[in-house]
Amino acid sequence: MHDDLSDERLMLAYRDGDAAAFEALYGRYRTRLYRHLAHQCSDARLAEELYQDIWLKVVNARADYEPLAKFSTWLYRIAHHRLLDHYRQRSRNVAELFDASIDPDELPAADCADPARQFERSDLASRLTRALEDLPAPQREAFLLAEEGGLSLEEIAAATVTGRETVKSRLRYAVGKLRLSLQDLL
Amino acid sequence: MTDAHDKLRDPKLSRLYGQASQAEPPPALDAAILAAARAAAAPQRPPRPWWRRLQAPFALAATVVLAVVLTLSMDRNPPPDGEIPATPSGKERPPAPEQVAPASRNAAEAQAPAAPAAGIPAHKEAQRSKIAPEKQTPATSSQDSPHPAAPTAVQGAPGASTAKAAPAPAADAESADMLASERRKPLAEPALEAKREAATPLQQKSPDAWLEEIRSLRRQGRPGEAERSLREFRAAYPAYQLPEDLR
Repeated sequence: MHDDLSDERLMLAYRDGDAAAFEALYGRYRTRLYRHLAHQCSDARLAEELYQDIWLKVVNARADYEPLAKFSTWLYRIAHHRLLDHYRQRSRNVAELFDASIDPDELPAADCADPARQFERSDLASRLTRALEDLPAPQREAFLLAEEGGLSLEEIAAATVTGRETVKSRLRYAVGKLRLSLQDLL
Repeated sequence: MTDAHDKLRDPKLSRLYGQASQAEPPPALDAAILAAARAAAAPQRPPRPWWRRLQAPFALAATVVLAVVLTLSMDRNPPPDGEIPATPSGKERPPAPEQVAPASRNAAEAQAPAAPAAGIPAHKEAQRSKIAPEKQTPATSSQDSPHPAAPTAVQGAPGASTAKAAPAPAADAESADMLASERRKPLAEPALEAKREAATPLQQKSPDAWLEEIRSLRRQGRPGEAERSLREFRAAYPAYQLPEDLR
């Protein structure tokens, strides 16, 4: 019944009290958002916490929802702000990396370069996770929003509250680094 | 725009990402989120329309207004005496004067007020019957405080309505005897008695007898009393055509 409706229509229906519309919407985004978060924070328990927080924000914001943008953009913007809050609580340095004025070449890699862990992740998923963890957070976010979320450059820019060119640059750097890390698998 | 995006994406990398990324949210987390969403969307009790919310106050206000209007209406427009079952109607007026009057008064004098009714229109008669108790009640109550006139009249009313029956006059006579015995007590002053006598003719004398009495007062050289009696006569019989000599 709800399969033919757009995301925005489903959200509007949920705003009007249709719980089944939310279930349909949730089914469309549950894995995409969860994987986005899981790759972003590399901690399953933290990813689950953020994941629940984001969906509860969606639920609580339903009364004021207006389809001014695509639902996916709105959802990932909520995720972006929740991640930034998390970074601010955890490490101010990571949050500052999202400043658009920073040259992507100067972004440091994530501090997960543990040789022991690298040895354990010999399979494909581990290699990919490792490669993503090596990316700076803004580049990783841009890549995940494009790859997992399926957002365009403009939508990523809207979701991350940055300029299109900044997103384009971050995405280019992320893809280049991942190719380099996973070239033996490509 | 889309081309630029496509150039930035590597299909091999995308396929590799798709194969490696298999994480799923735990079912318990799904259930918790969906339960929260359902609870938030649960239909809350719709607010009642304004007219339903104000139904009780409006009903109460309407009841109060109706009660007040009816009370005021009853006060300002009391029903005619004939509509009250307990009181006599028409010519059978309440025998208040008889109740107050001494028992020794003869029957012809006691029934005298009924006589002018024949010569006066019915509505005048009704008006007079209204005026008469009002005039008489203060007089009797001020003079005979042990026996208020109103309750006596009400008690006597059924008896008056059945005046033709034998027991009723007996009851009237009994109460009249009680009043008479009260007056025969030493406390009853002759002046009060005379005053009562002066008040009762208002209702008991026929107009002709009253006018004759006024003439008699004039002849006796008591113009002040004659004038006062004439004023009372006019008040009692406003429609009565006075003879030439008394105008």
